[in-house]
Order: sequence, then structure tokens, then C-alpha cells
Amino acid sequence: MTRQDSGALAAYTAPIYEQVTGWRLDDPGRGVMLEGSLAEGFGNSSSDLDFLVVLPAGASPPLMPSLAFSGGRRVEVRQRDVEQLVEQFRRLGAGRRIGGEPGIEDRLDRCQRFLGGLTLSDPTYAIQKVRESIDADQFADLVSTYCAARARRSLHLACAARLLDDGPAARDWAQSCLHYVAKTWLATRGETYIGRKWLQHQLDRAGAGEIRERFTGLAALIVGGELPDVLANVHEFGRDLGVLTTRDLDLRRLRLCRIRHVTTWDIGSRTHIIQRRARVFVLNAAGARVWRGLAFGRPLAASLASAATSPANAVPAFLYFLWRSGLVRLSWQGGEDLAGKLDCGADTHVDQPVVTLRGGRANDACAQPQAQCLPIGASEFATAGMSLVWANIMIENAREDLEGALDADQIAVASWAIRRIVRDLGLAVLSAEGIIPLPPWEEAASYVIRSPGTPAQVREIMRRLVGIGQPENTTQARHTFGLVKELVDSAREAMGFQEFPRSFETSATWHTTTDIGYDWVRIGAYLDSDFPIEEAHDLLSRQGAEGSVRGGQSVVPGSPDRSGPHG
Amino acid sequence: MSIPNSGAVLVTGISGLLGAEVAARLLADGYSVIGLLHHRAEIRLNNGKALLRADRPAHAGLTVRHGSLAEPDFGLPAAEYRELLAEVGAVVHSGAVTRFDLPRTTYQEINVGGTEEVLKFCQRCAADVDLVHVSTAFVVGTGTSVATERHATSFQPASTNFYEESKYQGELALHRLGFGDRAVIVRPSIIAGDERRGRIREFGNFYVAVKAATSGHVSVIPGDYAASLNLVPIDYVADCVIAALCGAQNLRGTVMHAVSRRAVTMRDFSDVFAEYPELRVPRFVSQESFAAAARAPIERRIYDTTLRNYDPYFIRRVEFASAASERLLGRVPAGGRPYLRRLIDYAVAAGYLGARQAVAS
Repeated sequence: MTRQDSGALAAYTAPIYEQVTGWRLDDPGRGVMLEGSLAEGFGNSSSDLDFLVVLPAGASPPLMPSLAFSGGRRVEVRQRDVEQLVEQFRRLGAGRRIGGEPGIEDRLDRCQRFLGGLTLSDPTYAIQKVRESIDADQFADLVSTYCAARARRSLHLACAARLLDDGPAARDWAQSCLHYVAKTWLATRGETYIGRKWLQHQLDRAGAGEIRERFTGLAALIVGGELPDVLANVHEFGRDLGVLTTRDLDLRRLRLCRIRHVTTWDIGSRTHIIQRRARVFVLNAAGARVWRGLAFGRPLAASLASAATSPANAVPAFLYFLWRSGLVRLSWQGGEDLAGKLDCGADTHVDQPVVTLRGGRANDACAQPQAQCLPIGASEFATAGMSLVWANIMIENAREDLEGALDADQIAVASWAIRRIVRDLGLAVLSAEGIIPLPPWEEAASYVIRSPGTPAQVREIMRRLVGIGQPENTTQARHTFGLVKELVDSAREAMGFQEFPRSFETSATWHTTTDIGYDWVRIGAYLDSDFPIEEAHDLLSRQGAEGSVRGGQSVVPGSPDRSGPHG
Repeated sequence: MSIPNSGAVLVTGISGLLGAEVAARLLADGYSVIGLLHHRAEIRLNNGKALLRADRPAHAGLTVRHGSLAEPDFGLPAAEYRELLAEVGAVVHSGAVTRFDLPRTTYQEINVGGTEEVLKFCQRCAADVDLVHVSTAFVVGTGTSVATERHATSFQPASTNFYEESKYQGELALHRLGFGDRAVIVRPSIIAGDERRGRIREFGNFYVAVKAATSGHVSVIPGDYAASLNLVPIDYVADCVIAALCGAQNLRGTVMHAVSRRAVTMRDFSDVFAEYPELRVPRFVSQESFAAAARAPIERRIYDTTLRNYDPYFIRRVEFASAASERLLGRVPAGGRPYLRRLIDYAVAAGYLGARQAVAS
């Protein structure tokens, strides 16, 4: 259908309008337009009918359209008053930053639909007056500017996708670039329809000739051609039409940039990335090597080339993940930011334990660089780590008390120490699972027993520990101690913190203890996480300025009577 | 800018970062500058532009005398020295040894002896010269939590190194030779990159310590998270010196700190460095824990040759008063984490910190 058929179109749509709305077309209080693809001269039998009812200034009609179906077509009726229509054009502004402005495409589309609409009735000349108040040439300039910006951005993104080994995405972006180059050219000839669906028809109508042929050829090349050829040819097309420049395919301009709220923290030898103080990504060894070797502020290609890892072809995919997770930024020098979205990665399954003494778990055996988003937030992660360390310190403290009590035949003290060990083990297990905030100390053991996420073996161990009876004499107490020790060691091994030292045995083991805790303290301070107790912070941040001496003396604050951080 | 005395301004240490910036500001405002140059044939500004290249001044108002602060009469021939006495109307004494790794005698020779030579020169000058003496805010040594802008004669510091000791003694020399009430003393804290971009002509002292600490070879250094380092932009310090010179007649006997409003703590360093994956952040531990820590030979070597010289700065907590400079210039640079980021950004972009280290390690 062409614009010459507008009379036929008006005759066809008018009854539908009246049927759907219940209003007469010649109602003196309403102007009526048909917008959209049919009004533009495109469309087919399944195209929607989009009516715009124009009311006098100040009517303030509801902004939500009403929908109906008629004769197999979807019919939408929107209402606007004259002031609202003028305002929607005014909001387009000067369009200097039109390329990157959020929501701009929608606003351009609304305005263009009005300008390209077919007037069905205009009894008070309201529609005509709004049209006359709009500079159509200026609007076409805005559309042209917008489409040119989109064309450039699409090509830049195609270049990024290509470097990051995402061929399908590179082709899609190349197609977007092709479309927006064509749209830019069309807009300079008054063809301002925003949607891409009817592009070929627009080119035909504009008498594009050779341009149309090149466009069609490029569309086919995008599907089946070699990617470098695709980008080079699309770029050439854009240059020939005056939309793109040589700079738009210069890969040296695609820069890898850091993001301020993304920070890097080592816990022991395990590298973590904290994003916006909210999310934690743990890197395996290969991932950490790549991450620390990134050349920020330099061309992306330089980082890809210098990332010394094997297999080398895994690095682009890893960088793609980092970019789309919002951990790094890509920027086109002289152009725009190509920011990724804040995806947390697709892998959300929970492997227990979530937290180990040395940070999150990562698969160092995998040669490919990996960054795993943890299922708990950054602050919870830091609290869980500190709690895990502290709970283990409490276990060792209680163990020391137990040994001393057995030596002195103090059965009641020994029983209490056993009780502490079991509950603090519960807190350690829950910390390793990332269950933050922790339950009260008194409930820790039974929480573990009831927790479906805890490995069955550990639940069974906890059941046995809780079921241990009160010893009545030293012999029984010693036997119980042996059993408790065996069960605790098994639980620690199952949960991955068996390496925790006998903290109070020597100054060396105390130093190892604080060494484990130091990095957690540092992250926790950065995130303002809750520490189990304040003393833990001070003690561990001094990193064992005092040692521990066997024989009952202990530097643990409040011990030996302390029931634990939640007692 | 308006300097009270007519005559040229003698700038000692003109090839140094601060001396060059001071000279450039004077020349831009039409003053004649005479630079005392020891052995260099080049003077470069912080932005890299040359004031002197292959002994040829890039500005008509600049002349250079090749001499030495360590020698009597600056080591100049007698006639040249007499000419200097007649030409000079004001002196900016910024020449000094600022490294931390030299023998004590070198600091005594240059920083104390050199100051005495400058004072003798001023005494002999034909004119009643104005003198701006560049010292250091760290003349206060340790044991002071708030450093006020008072004369060196009113305290006895526990200096942490030969540099601080020599600068303190240099200030005492001013008083001893009758310039205590005459000179204006400017005490900068740790001079770093310019305020807006963090740009610095060369990466010395503070930067050397940062590079060593973040190289990835150092796992632990003795330090206190609450320790603070006051970093001040080079352009602000140069502005302070110029302002002191312009107001010298009214500011005689004044001591002023050239510092930033907010220092950066070791905690700030830790958190800001975390924003740069290419930098490895060591642990800051107590002296006892540091001594007990197992360290690889390369780490020991780096500490012994470089980081040991900066130990006191990683544990010292001192705030510097800045009322005098704030009154004179109407402002004090903000400092703090944003400034630290600009410094690190510049150093990383320049390739001094970061990527090359990661590859090397």
C-alpha cells in the first residue's frame, strides 16, 4: 500500500474506529489519526491499527491505550491532548547526546508516528496546528543523528564481540550497524520511520537503487561471510554513505577500562573480585592470572595478546564474561562506553561448602580461566569467612580447656568444653555454608542436623556429637574426648577446613591462625561487615603480636569461660 | 604576582621538581630568575616542558649558574659570585637532598651546609633580600600527633631518618644566623602529582615505595592501618612558595605547612589499591609480626634496599596544621582518596605501576 492509497485506507479504517470506540469520526471534540505502518504506507493484513485521538489542550486524557480486536486485527486507541503532543516533541531537546540517552528511541518513535500519521478527522484543526508547530526538518535531523550514533555503536560492539570470539553476536551487531546506516541515509531524505521491520520498503520508496542493492548484498554477507569481511564491508558501506569514519573500525580505539566499584582481594592465594560491595566472584588460578594481567586503559587486543594463559583461546570467552558481568568496561576512544550488564553469571548451583578458610571455592585444576559468582552477597561472604575462622578458634580454645580439665580431673569443666566444641563446630559448618546471619550458639548444632543443604555425613556427625552423654569420671571423659576429636576432625574434613591449626599450641600455630584470619579482616573492614566479636578484629589485625603459651594461659579474650561469640 | 624587591630571584635546586615549577611561575610573570644548577644541563617542568635544554635556557628571563651548595660561595668563581650578590633581590632555597638512602654526611653537607651557604649569601647581598626557605613538614619527627606551624627552636624532634634530621638542623641554622625572624619557611608534606590529574615529572620517593610494595614480591610490611601519609600536589606547593615570596615582607618569620586537608591512611591505601587488579597489596602488620614472618629472599632484598627507608611513614600518625597557607592562598587541597586515585591512575597509565609488574611477576 502506498501513500496514494490513503483515501482508501481512511475509508477502510474509519468504520473500525467507530465500531471499536463507539465515537463518531466527525465528533467535533476529537481529532483522529491513524498512526503506524499502515499509515506510513507499509503494513500487511496482520498489521495493527493504531488510532490516535487528539483532544483539546487541557483535556489530560488517560495515558494508557485501550486495546480491541476487529476483523482479525489488533486495534489500539491512544488519546492525547494538544499540550501533551507538543510536550513530547519539546522533550526531544537539542539532541546533542541523543545516541546514548535512555528511552530516546521510544520518544522518537512516538513523535515520528504522529508526523507520519494519516489524519482521518480534524474538525478543530488541532492536529494541523500541532504539525505546523513542529519543524519536520529538525526532527529528521534528530532521527538521522540518533541512527548514526546507533550505527557507530553497533559497529563498535561488533568489533568487541569479534575480538571476544562471539561470532553470532558480532554478526547481529553488524546487521544492526547495516540497518542504522541505512536508516541514517533514509532520515536525510525524510524517511524517518523508526522501526527496522520495513527497511527494504523504505529503501524502495526512497529510490535507493544501488544503495538498496548493496544493502541486500551485505545482509546476505552478514549471514554467510567471513567475519572480518563482514565488518570491513559494512564499515565501507557506512563510510560511503557518510555515516561512519575510518576511526569506527580502528580496533586500537577499543579500550579495556577498569570500573571503580570493582575491587580485588586475595584471601591466602585465592583471588576474589567484589563488585559494588555486593557481589563476590572467586577466580580460579588461571582466572586470577588473566585478571591481574589485564592492561587497563589500553586496547582490548593488547590484553588478549598479553594474557599468558593456556588454553589461549579461553581468554576471549573469559573476558566476555568479565565484561558482561560488569567487572570491566569497554570503551571506544572518542566514542562511547560499551558497558556490560550486571549479570551474575548463569551458574547458580550451590556447591557446599561455599566458603573455605581461604575464600570462595574455585577449580584450580581447570586450565581455563574461570570466575564464579558466589550465591551469597559480599558482606555475608566476609562475615561468613570471619565467623568460620572465629568458630574454629573457639573450637581450639575449648579443646585446650578440655585438655587442661582432664589433666586436673575437672569433669564439669571438661563437659562444658565438650559442649562448646560441638556448638562451635555447628557455627563453623554453617559459616562454611554461607548461612549468614548465623543462628544463636545454642541452636547451632540442631540447625546443622535439620539443614537439608548440609551434607548428610556432616549431619550424622553432628547428631552423634549432640547425643554424647555427660561423662561421669575422668576415664569416661577421656574416652569422650577421643570420640569428639575424631568426629570433629571428620566434620572438618567433610566441610573443607581440616587445615585449621592447633591455634594455642605454639606461637607458630597461633601465627598461622592469624595468618588465615588477616585477609578476612581486611575485606570485612572494607565492607563494614559484622565481625563475630570486636576482639576478633583487633586480635587478628594485630596478627598475633602476642603468642599463646601452653599451660592454661590464653590470649583469647574472655576465655576460658566464654561460651562463644553468641553466648 | 608582585614580589616586593626588585632584582632577580635566585632559585637553588632549580632542576628539582619544586624549583623548576617555582622558576616557571616567576618567569611567566616577567621576573628574572637565576638558577643555581649543580651538574645538570637540563631543567624540566612537571608537564615535561624544558626550561633549560643542553644548557640553553628556553626563556629569556632565565640565566643559570653552575655551582654547588656544598661548596663555599657556591663553588662559583669570585667575580661570578660578586655579580650574583649584586643582581639578586630575593632567594628561594629549595635545593636539597630528598632521598632517604644516603649517608648522613651527604645530608649534612647539602641540607645543612648548603643552607648555611645560602644564608651567608643573603647576608652579603647588596639588597635586603627576601628569603623563602623550603623545609619539610616532617621536621617534627615522631611522637607528635598534631604538628603546628611553629619554629624549630621550640621543639626537639625524634627524627626518623637523616633527611628529617638535616632539614630540622637547616631550620635551626636559619635562627642561628639571624634569619629566624626574616625568612619565610615553607614545609611541604610528601610532594606528589599535580592536583587535577596526578601528573608527576618523575617517580621518586613515595612512588618508589608504592612500586616496591605493590610489585607482587612483597607479602608483608610493617605498618599500621591508622598511619597516615599527607600527600600534597606539586602545583599547590609551588603556589605556596610563590605566595610566600610575594608576601615575604609581611610574612617574615612565618612558618607555613604546604599540606593537603586530608591525609591518606594505610587503610585508604589498602582499599584504593584494591581497585587496581594489577597491583598486589601487601599486609600491614606489627613490627613483631613482621620480624616473625617467613619471607622469600627477593622479598627480603626489596625490603632491605627500598622499603626499610620508609618504615616510619607506614606507622606514623600525625596531622598537620595548615592555617597559615590557608590564610595566604585561601584554600588547601582536599587530598584524601580521590587525590590518591588520581596519583595511582597517572602512575598506572604512565606504565610506572601495574601491567609491567604483573608480567614480570
